Amino acid sequence: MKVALLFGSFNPIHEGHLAILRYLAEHRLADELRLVVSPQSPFKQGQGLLDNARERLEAARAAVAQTGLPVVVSDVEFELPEPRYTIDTLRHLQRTEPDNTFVLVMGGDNITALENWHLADELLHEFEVWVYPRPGTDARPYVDALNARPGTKGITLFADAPQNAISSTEIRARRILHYDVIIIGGGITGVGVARDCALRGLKAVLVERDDLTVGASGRNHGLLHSGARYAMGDAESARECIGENRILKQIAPHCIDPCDGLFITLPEDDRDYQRQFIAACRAAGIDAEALDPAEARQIEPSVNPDLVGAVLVPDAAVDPFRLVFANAMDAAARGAEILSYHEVRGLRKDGRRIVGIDVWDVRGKQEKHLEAPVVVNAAGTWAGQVAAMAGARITMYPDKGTLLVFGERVNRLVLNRCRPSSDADILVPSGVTTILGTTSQRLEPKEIPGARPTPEEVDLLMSEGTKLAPKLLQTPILRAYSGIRPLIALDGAEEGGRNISRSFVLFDHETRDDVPGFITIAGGKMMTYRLMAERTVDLVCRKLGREVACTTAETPLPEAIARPERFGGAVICECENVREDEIRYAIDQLGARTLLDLRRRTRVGMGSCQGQLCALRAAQMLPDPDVHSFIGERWKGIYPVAWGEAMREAQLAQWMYNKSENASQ
Amino acid sequence: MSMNFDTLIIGGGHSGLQQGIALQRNGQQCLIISAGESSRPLRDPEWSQAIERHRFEDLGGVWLDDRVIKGVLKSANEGDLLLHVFTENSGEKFFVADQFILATGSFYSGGLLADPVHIWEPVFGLDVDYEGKHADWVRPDFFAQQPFMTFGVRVDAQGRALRQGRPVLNLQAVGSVVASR
Repeated sequence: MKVALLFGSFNPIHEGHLAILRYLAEHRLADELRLVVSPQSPFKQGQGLLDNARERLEAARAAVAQTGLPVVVSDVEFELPEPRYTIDTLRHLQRTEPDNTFVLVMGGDNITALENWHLADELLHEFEVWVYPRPGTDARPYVDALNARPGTKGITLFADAPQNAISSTEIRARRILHYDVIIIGGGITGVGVARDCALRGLKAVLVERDDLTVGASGRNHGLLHSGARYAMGDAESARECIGENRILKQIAPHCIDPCDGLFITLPEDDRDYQRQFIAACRAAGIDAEALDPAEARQIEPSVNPDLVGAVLVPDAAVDPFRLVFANAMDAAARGAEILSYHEVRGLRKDGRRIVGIDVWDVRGKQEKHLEAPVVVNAAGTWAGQVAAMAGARITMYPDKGTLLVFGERVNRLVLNRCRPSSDADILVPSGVTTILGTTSQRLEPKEIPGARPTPEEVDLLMSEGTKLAPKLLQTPILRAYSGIRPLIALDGAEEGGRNISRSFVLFDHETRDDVPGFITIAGGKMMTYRLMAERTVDLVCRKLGREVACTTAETPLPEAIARPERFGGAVICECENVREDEIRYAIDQLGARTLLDLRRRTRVGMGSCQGQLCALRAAQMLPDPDVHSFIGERWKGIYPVAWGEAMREAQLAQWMYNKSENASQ
Repeated sequence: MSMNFDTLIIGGGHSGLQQGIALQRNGQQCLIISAGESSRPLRDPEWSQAIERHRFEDLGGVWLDDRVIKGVLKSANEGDLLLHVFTENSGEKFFVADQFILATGSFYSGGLLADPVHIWEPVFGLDVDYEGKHADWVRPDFFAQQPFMTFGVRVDAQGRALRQGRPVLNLQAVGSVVASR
C-alpha cells in the first residue's frame, strides 16, 4: 500500500494543510493519507501557541474529521525518542510496516531547505518525495537539482495543486492570546506576582523587555533587612520587614545567608541613640540585643575596634538573582508564562479600559497581542512610563545608589551604624565578597539610562564606610555598581529622598484615574516583594471575582540555580569554579544567550577577575555572546575604583580588548 | 652572593629577558631576579617565558626566582649610584653589579602601584610620570585612550631612571615600567 505522509507541528492545523490532503485524495495519488503530528519540531523551538502536543493532535483529528477525508492522524512520533528527525520516523514506519511504501509530502518552501535536513542524502535515496507549491517560492529549480543527483528515488512537483498562502506562523501572529492577568516587569516584584498568580490557579503571563533582574533587582545591596534600620523612622516598614524576613528564611533558605547583623556605635555617635533604637526595634517585634564592645569584637573580628556599643539583630544576606530565578521558574512550572525579551509596544484599550498589551518579541522578531481583564504594572523604575501609556499618572522619584564590591569576605555579620540613616553605613557579606553601600542621589528620568557609579561617590563610600571595618582599607576592590531605587510618591506625601517612605504602594487605577483593568504595584524593597505580590494578587482576584487565598508564605521556593558541585566538565571560570556543564544548563534551561545573561544566572564574571579570563571561553559556548556590552558593562564598574587591584584588572582589560591601546604598545 | 655580575636585571618578563639575551651575547654575565607575572602573554599568546628563559640560560645567564625589594644608593656628582640590592629571600645578603636594569613591568605586573591618590614605583621609589588622582587616570569610555596606560618611571635621554629629579647613573629602566607619554 502506498502511504503519503504529511509531517508537521500543525500549530495550529489550517485550511492550507487540508487543501493539500484534499488534492491528494481527489487525485487518488496514494492508498492512504497520514498526517504525522510532531511533538516538537527540531527547527522551531519554543514558539508554542498550542504548545501541548496532545492539544495539537486532538485539534488535527477534529479538523480532519470535519472534512470527511480518509486521512489518518498519526501520533507515531510521540513514542519515538528525541530528536525526531524525519528520516528516523520514515525508517521506523518502513520497518514496522514493511508491506507499505511511504512517500514524504512537503511544501515548496520546505524543499528549498531539504539539503539541511538530517541525513538528507539517505532520505532522498530511500523515499519518494511529493512537493506541493507554496506561494512566494519557485520549487521547480530545487526539485530538478535534487532529481538530477544520482541515487535520488524521485521527487514529484504537483505544479497545479492549490496554492494556499496561509501559514501557521501567520495565524499565530494574528491570534490574540488570552490570560487572566498580564504582568509587566521582570524584577522581583513581577516574578513574585506571577508566582502568586500561578499558585492561585490564575492564568498569568509576564513580559520583560530585557532579561530578568536587569533593574533594581540585580543592582541592590543583597540585604535581607531585619527592619531594625527603619524602627526609629518608619515603624510600619520595620514591622513589614521583620515579618517578611522570617517568612523568606522559611521559604527560600537556599537564597539566604542568615548571618545576623550588628548596629555599632562609634565614639563620635550619640550614645543615647542605641537605647532608643533597641526600644523601637522591640516595639516593632524585632529581636535586638545589646552587646558590649568586647563581645562584638569577638563575634565580628573585623569590626572597628573603637566601637563603644553594639546591637545584635537578625539581618541576613540574600542572593537576589537566585531569589528572582527561583520565583520565575516556580511560576513557570506552575503554568505561568515568563516572556523575557518581549517589549511592551502599547496597551490595548476599549475606551479608557485597558484590555491587554501589544508586545514585540525581540528574539522571534514578531508582534504578539495579549489580552487579560487585569494588567499589572510592576515595571519598577519604569512604572511611570508604563502608567503614562495607560493614561494614568504616577509620580516616581528615581534615586541612584552606588555600592562597592570588595574582593574578600571581610565581615561575618552585616555591619551597620547605629545612628539616623546616612550614606555608606551598611556593610553586607555576600558569598566570598563584601559589599559596602550606599549613596543617594535623586535623578531626572532622562538620567536613568546613563546612571553609573562616579569616582566622587566611591571616595565618599571609602571615607565613611571604612569606619565600620578598617580592614576595608587594605582590601582590594573588585568594582563599583549603581542601582536605581524606584521610589514612588504616596499620594499626598512630600518629597525628600530618604524620607519618602519605602513602603510600597498599590494603585487601583479604576478608582484613582478612571482607567479600569490596570493596577500598579511599586515602591517597597526587594525583601517585601512577597507581601507586595500578595496584596496585588488579592486585588487581582477581587477584580476577577475569584476567591482564592494566598499561599506564598507557606509554599517553599525551589532551588532554581543548582549548586556548582553538581556540574562537571571543563572549568570555564576559575575564580568562581563555574564549569562547562553549568553554563550549558544556564543556556538550555535558564535561557542565557549573552555573557551578561550568563553573569546573572551563574557566577561567571563575578569573581576576582570579573570575567576577564573566562569571558572569551564562555563566549564560545553562547549563541550571541555580545562581548562588547559585557566589556562596556564591566568597565563601568572598574573605572570609578581605578587603584590597587582594580588597576591591574583595568590594564588587563585594556590589553585584551582595546585594540587602539594594543597598537600603541 | 659570591658571583660577580656585570648586569643585574630586575624582572624576567619580555623586556628583561630581551636585555639579558642581548647582553649575554655581547659577553656580559647577567643575573635576572624575577618574581612577578609577565603581562606579555596577554598581548602576544605566542610568546613563551619558558622558552626565552631557556635561551638566556643557554647563553650563560643566571636566573633567580626572588623579589627585589629595595636598593642602597649613594650620591655622586652627576646623579646617584645604585650600590646593591636586597631581595625578599636573601635576608642580609645583597647583590652587587656594575649595571642594573629595572624591567618590572606596569600595573599588571606590580612594577607600578596605585592607591586612590598616588602612583609609585615600589622598589626604588623612582620618579613616576602621572597626574591627578584616580578619577583622572581613567576615562569612562572603555575604548578611549586611557591616561594610566602611558604612566611610568621617568628616564633621561640615556634611558637612566630618575629619582627626585636626578638620574641613577647605573640604573636603566626598560619596558612597560617606563612612561610612554
